[in-house]
Amino acid sequence: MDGARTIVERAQLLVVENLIWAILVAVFLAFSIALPHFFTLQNVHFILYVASAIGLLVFAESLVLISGSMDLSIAHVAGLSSMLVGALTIQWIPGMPGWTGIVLIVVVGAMLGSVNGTLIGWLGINPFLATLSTFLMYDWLTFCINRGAISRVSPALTFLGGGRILGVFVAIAVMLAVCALLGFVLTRTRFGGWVKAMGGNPQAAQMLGINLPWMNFWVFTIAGALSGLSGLLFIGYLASIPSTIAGGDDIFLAFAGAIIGGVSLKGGEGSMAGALGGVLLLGVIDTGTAMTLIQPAVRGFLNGLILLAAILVNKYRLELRDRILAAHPGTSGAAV
Amino acid sequence: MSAPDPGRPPPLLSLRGIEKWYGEVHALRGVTLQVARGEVLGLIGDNGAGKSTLIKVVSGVVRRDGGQVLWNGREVALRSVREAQALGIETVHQDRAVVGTLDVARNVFLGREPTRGIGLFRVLDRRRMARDAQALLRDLRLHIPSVHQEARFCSGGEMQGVAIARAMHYQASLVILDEPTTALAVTGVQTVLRFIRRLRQEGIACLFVTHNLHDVHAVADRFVVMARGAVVASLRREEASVDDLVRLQLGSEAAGRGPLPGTA
Amino acid sequence: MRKALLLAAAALLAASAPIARGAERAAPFFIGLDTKTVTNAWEGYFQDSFEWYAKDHHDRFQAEEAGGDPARQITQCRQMINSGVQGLVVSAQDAEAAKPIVSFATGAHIPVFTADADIDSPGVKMYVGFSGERAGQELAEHLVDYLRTKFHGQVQGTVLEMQGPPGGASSIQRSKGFHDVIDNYPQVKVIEAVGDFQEAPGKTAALEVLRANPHIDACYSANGPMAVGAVGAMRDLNIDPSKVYTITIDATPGVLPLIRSGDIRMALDQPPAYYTAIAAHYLTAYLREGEAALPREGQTIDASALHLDTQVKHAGVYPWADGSAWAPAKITREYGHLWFQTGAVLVTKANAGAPYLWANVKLPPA
Repeated sequence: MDGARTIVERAQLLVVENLIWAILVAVFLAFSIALPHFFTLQNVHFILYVASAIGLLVFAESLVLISGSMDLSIAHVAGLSSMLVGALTIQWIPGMPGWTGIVLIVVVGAMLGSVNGTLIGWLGINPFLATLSTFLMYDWLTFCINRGAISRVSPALTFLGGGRILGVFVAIAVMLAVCALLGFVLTRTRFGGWVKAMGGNPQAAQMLGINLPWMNFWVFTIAGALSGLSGLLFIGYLASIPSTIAGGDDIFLAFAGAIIGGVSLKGGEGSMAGALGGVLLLGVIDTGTAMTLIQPAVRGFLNGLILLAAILVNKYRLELRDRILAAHPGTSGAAV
Repeated sequence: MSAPDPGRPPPLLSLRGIEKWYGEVHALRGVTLQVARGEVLGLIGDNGAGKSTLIKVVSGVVRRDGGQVLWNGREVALRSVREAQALGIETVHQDRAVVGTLDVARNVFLGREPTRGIGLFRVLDRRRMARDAQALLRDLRLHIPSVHQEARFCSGGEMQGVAIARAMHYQASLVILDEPTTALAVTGVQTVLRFIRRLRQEGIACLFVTHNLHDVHAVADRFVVMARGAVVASLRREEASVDDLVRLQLGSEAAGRGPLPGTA
Repeated sequence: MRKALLLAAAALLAASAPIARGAERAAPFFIGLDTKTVTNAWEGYFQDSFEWYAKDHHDRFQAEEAGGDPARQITQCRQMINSGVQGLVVSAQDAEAAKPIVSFATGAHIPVFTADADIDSPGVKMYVGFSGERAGQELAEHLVDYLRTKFHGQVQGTVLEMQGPPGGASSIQRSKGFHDVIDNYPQVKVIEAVGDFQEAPGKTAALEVLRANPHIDACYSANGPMAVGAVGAMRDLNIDPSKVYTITIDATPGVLPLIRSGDIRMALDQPPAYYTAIAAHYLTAYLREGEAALPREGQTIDASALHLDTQVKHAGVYPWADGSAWAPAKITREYGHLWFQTGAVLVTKANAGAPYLWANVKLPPA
């Protein structure tokens, strides 16, 4: 009955649990060697900044994945909230103070997310189908409000996403704060544990009295609020609200960041810290490949290749980790 | 069933005419049975007899469509798991109701975690959870070395123990065990039976659903046989041997085999 | 799962090879181009020309394409600014939506020039392009003359107008110019079809409209591929294209053969190669000399004033050898900044074979 792990094993476990960070450092160093001006403070600052807006989407998707579902609509929730609140505070009701826009965007995001929550939690619709429909509806609605762009955006709306304090982009602080908050909720509150439970074993969760419909409702509503906040960061980054804000590949990047960061597609598994690692890796890869002077089309392929490599390594790490943990599970003797 | 004797205390749990439909399937047809305080009742019957459905009704996971449930003589609605738990009914589910990706301590208290702080700032009391979980496991002589280990790395028997420990912790009056010995090796089975005897010692009633007639015969005070959604026989341990139980179970499927012992 | 690890390492190695090659040695200037879309030969030549010009001058360059997405255009420009470009040439997807690019660039002290599609901001140093509006007007005048002749002094008849994607700056201008003239003749019935600046959608839209209105006298197309599509639609419906007075902006490779065969009467052509070359020329001149390098409003620039030819062949030709494709150019103002208004070439059967027409240049596949 050997329950203790050796120091070596513990060190191995530590590395393996946090492999995303090792991958991040490795890719960062690879780019630093290949490119001039990559390994500079200014560039690292920029990478963190670029990662912030998409980072919130990654966190939102991570939350939903951990709860055992998936949300295809988060990028368009970000887009629609931005466009709606932008139109509201700038064009329709010009007298509104700028900061109300910040609150509104999160509220609108939460409401849009709650539509998903209702469809999935209360009406029992499959998450893929439900969020696919809202994905389509929100995309079209955004375009309806404004086909081109809202380019005169109030400073209050762009502050969080584009402003700086002491030279550092505020968006980075927002992203880190949200990561910490979500991480805290997931690990230190009942709600967080229940999210993991419904993802890991929904039947068990239900049988232990966890109200799945309510939980689903809240998970998607929170994801919506996070997406709204992400939209705010995009507005700041773009200094405008084009109709394609948070469109394009962003939903795929949200999934990619979550999965590389160790969040399982099956549900019940993952952490915000890991997701953060995934977010930063996305930022490094995006900026690194943008700085290479090769054809745009090839660059896209390269992006995918690097992502694939990271995913494979992550897969290997999960198997390695399970092997180390299973070696000393602390069984009470004979196989029971 | 004879009228309750006004002098004796009412049974802990009394089910009268429980009905449940799943679409067109009549899963429970007027099920009537009673469990006395501190009694171990074995519920047997073939697949599709309705045992699992009945368990789900009593543990609050599904709502019955008809019939009454009386707890200590008082009628209760029993519409949710929380309500069942509040009454003192704890269930150890067939699949052990364990979330593999959470640690053992978390699993023991899942759904009813102790917290510190107030209102919006309530956080899990992790230290207390770990301490209480350790104490429980020690008490039951389960040697899981760390309650911080993820549950999926524990063996089947250990997790069964965790689930039972959880039931005992909440001071149940009635513990329902749904197929607790299925998929366990011999030592595991013995552990579970030991727990059940321990429950009876503590005065906790037990509703033990199983396929395994040897196991149930070893530990139950009374047996109830179900077939096709209804109760077909009820007898005490002295009244039936394992062979009798085997015949009952088989006979409940075959019609017209002559009178079965215990059927009224 | 050692296999996975090896595969991952191999993938990273494969990825690092092009990255390493991409990092070129330090060069005089580092300039960037962001173009809205590269979906047809004209746009391809537009982008290629920038790259050739930069290479010939030994400048480091980066060329991006926004795929029609204004948000992506902003993101790409921000990335290029972060990468250290010293100047930007932008062909904006949306004149309004691209405004932030100018503020970001100005904030980093980087000059922005626009080509082909302008940005609505006074911060742009200069816009190089012809006027879609003037082109539409000029072609409309030719069309009015034709109708007058056909109907013996009366300007009447039915005209099919092929339009680009709604909301796009280019389509709006080219359509406006046309309507500025044609709307003065209420007897002329104009039927509109949206072809999104491409041949296949153009053909589909034209088919739909022509089925309901088969008797048309003329066709004005806002760009070349749509004109080709419209002619295809006419053929499908057994309408003889040579009897329809079809005129278009842009003499694309698909249009020239139709001009030679008489199915299209004329095309007003803009020279894609020159746009980016002229923009890059003035950009690098600005980086060297500052504001003094820019022309003054009201000036007229002749071919002799700008030396663009680098004596290097690309795709078998000297892309910037013939100044008559863009000269004379007028310097005016638009959106609060300078406008290098290039001339346009009227292409008819008579000069359809001219070598300086970009459509006659055989481009290597992209």
